[in-house]
Amino acid sequence: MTEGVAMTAGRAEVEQFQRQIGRLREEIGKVIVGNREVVDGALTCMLAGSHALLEGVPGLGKTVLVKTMAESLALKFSRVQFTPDLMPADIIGTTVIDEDAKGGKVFEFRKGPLFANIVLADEINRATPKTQSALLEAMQEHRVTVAKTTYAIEEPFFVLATQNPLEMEGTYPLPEAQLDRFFFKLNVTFPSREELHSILDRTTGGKDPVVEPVLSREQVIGMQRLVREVPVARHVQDFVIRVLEATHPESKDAPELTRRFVRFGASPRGAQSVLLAAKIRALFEGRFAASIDDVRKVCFPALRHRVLLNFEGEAEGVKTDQVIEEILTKTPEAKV
Amino acid sequence: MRAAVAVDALVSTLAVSLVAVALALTLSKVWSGFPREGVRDVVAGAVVAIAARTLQRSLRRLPKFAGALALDVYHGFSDRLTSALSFAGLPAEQRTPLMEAAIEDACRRSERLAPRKAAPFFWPRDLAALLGLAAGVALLAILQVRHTVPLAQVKTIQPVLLSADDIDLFREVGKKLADTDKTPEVLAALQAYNQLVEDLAQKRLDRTEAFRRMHEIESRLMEGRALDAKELDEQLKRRAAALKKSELSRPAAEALEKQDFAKAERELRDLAKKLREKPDALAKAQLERLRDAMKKAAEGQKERLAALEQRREELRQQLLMQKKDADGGVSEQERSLLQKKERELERLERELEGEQRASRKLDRLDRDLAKAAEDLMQELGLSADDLDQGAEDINRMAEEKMSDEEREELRQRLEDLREQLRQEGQGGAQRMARLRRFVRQARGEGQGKRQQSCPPGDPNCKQDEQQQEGEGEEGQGQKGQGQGNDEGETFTIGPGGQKILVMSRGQRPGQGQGQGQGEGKDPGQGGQDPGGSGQDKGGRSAGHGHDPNLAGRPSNPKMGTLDVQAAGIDTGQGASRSEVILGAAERGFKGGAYKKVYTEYRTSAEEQMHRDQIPPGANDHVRRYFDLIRPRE
Repeated sequence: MTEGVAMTAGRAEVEQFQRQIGRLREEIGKVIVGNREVVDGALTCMLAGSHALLEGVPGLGKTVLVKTMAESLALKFSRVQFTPDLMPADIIGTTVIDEDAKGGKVFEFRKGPLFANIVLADEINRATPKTQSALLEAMQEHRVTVAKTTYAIEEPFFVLATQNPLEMEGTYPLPEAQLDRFFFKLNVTFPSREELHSILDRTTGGKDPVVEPVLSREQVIGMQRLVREVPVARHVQDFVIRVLEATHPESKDAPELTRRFVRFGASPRGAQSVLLAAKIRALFEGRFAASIDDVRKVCFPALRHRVLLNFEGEAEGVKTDQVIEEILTKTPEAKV
Repeated sequence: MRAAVAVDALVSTLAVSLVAVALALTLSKVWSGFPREGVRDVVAGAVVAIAARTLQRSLRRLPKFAGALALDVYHGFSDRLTSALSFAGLPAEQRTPLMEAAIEDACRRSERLAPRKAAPFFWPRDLAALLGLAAGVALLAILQVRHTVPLAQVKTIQPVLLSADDIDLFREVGKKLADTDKTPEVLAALQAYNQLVEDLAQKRLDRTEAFRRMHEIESRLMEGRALDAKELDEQLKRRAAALKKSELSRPAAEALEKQDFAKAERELRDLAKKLREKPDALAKAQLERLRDAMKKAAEGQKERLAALEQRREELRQQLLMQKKDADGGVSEQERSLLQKKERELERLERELEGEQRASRKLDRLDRDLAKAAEDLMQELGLSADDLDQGAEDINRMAEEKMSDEEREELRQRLEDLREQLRQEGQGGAQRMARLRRFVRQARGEGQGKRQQSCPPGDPNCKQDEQQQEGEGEEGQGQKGQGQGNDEGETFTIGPGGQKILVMSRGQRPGQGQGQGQGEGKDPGQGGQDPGGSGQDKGGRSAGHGHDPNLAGRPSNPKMGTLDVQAAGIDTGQGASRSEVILGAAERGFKGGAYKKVYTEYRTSAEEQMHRDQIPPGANDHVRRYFDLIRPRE
């Protein structure tokens, strides 16, 4: 009887999750044409309570995507355009002198744009490392410390950073350690011809699409909680670990491509990301447990910025996605 | 799934086993040293390995949830079944609502599972290749490989190659000796000699065997021969000297001294006849001198032998004594003296031995003479019989003497043959080819006769034929005939294969008859055989070498002709000796004129050799030279 109740509750939660995510996709889809994987990836990052790095040439709708997400979620949104002269205080906030009710002078902390639920860090690689570090600390800790006072950032906290892979002059590429903080690295690709038709129809007409908030902050937090409850069978987890091991060139299970072109493999945080993303994907699909297929799908965005190529790999023009593909092909699903 | 795994293991192990069996089979068929039980052992090992491996793989535990995974993959369940099984293995209190939901979901979906399709039995992909391999091994097993057992190779010989001309020469010698000599020893040696020549002609002998056979024949000849003919002559002379002292036996003695055995025999028979028929006509003193002479002749040799024996014995004793004294140490001079005496003793022993051998040959004559001397004073008739017997002995000696000469001749020929074989070995193929060319020249063979078939196993034959072809033009030119006495010139092959220009003049008298049928190729060559046109049927038109202004029309061969036989008359004004020799060099060593010249020259050469005018070492070369240029039939 108890099992039956639990089973029903579990099923209900998953079905509700599916409904909510469906509504969210639908709302975002009003503005964003195509790029389903990028949208799902961004949602996955948000539901995992982590952050996403979007990479793509200008004009592909990265900023629009983030704005639309924020609007459809009824969450507090802020955007920071990263420039070389941007200082940490500009995004975190600063302490100012103010008068209190009695007319006395007091220091008051004025929160920066970081104190929002969804933060768009546009062209993050244009800011100095100092500013990048300030952002990344907040991303990791979900809090900010200014003048010996720590300020918690309201949950959910979701940073979407973008960077342009072409204009590298005058930029400060993110160090590997900081890249690791991003849950996914999503490549925004050029839309297809049909998608371009839709984009032009929607954006050049007289009527702009209006996005309504479909999920409250509590609902998002509830969804984040459900994600953590998704069970993972041992063989799936074992597969994740073996994939992770195979990204290391010194591993005995590493394929030839890894041995030749990889300098450093993914960290355990990468495995966490993969597994968590697999759970979210299972929920997206209406399943109650993550599968190996889910793992396969999420490995690319979760590991592509965590696998570092060596000089030979860079010189040969090897892409990390090729390495991951090779690893997934060579890694057996079940191992005794 | 276990069956598939077992079959997979079976196939892989079977493939390896088949390769091993194929290797073993191949080895057993190509290598005779491979153990007979080897294939059987390999097959047995392969069977055991296949069974063990198959059993082991079939009993081996499959990966956990392998079946569920296969079902998930086949049905596209995204690990629903596997995950559910995994969650179901947890205690109930540890299961979350989502786990329960996953289990329930899996149960719901498991109602329409198709395990057969999810884990179908696949025959291994390599099965076809394996079957092919098995067929190959089966074929290999029934394949019969012919083992070539190395047989003991028949030893081939490198035959001695002699020119046909030389063979003919040696054959002729054998034939001649067989005609003249009838003694059994010489006939036996001759038979061996003829066999040797035939074997050489048939190329059945190599050098070693040929030399061995010659040595054998020589040994036989030497055995049969009474050694030291010189010693025999000396003894005969001594007997003749003794017999000379009687006027009755003097004619016989003189004949004996001259080694005219026939006359000596005749004289002795005459004396016997005189003693038998006219005893009264003889004075007693004559008879006594005859007896003394015969007695001395018979016993003189015994005395001489006894003296020699005594001298030898004395010398030997002296030598022994001196040697005994020399044991304590002698001077150089004494040692030299000792050695000199030793050599003298050896000489004496040889002399004595020769004397004894000759005495044994004359022993019967001595006995007859002694008996005749003894009977002479008692009964003349008996003495006459003894003398007849002595005459018979002389006759026998004459025969033996003749036989010795034949033996010497045969031995000499064997020596010639040996020398030729030596030269053939030293000169090699080129020399033989040259010799063949010479022999053809010597025989006067033209192009028409040169098409000889190559004897089997003669490596020089081809080269020789090529040379023959190369010389064909010249051969034709030499044989070309015509009429008239035109002077002509031709080339002949001289020593070393060089061309020699030979001037010819057609003035030799005699009945020459053309042999060839072709037209003379070179202008004016036909003068060698003038008058030889009677049977020459060559050509319907005039030859090439004529005057361009032909007079008259050519004869019509269909017209009736009258053959006239004209014999040449020997006027004694024939060609000079040098012309004969030149002609022989052109046409070959043929014809009576050449034979005559050759005989003269050879006789002269033999005389010179006999007189030791020619160094002994060169005798063989001289003989060889004359053999080569001897007249051919």
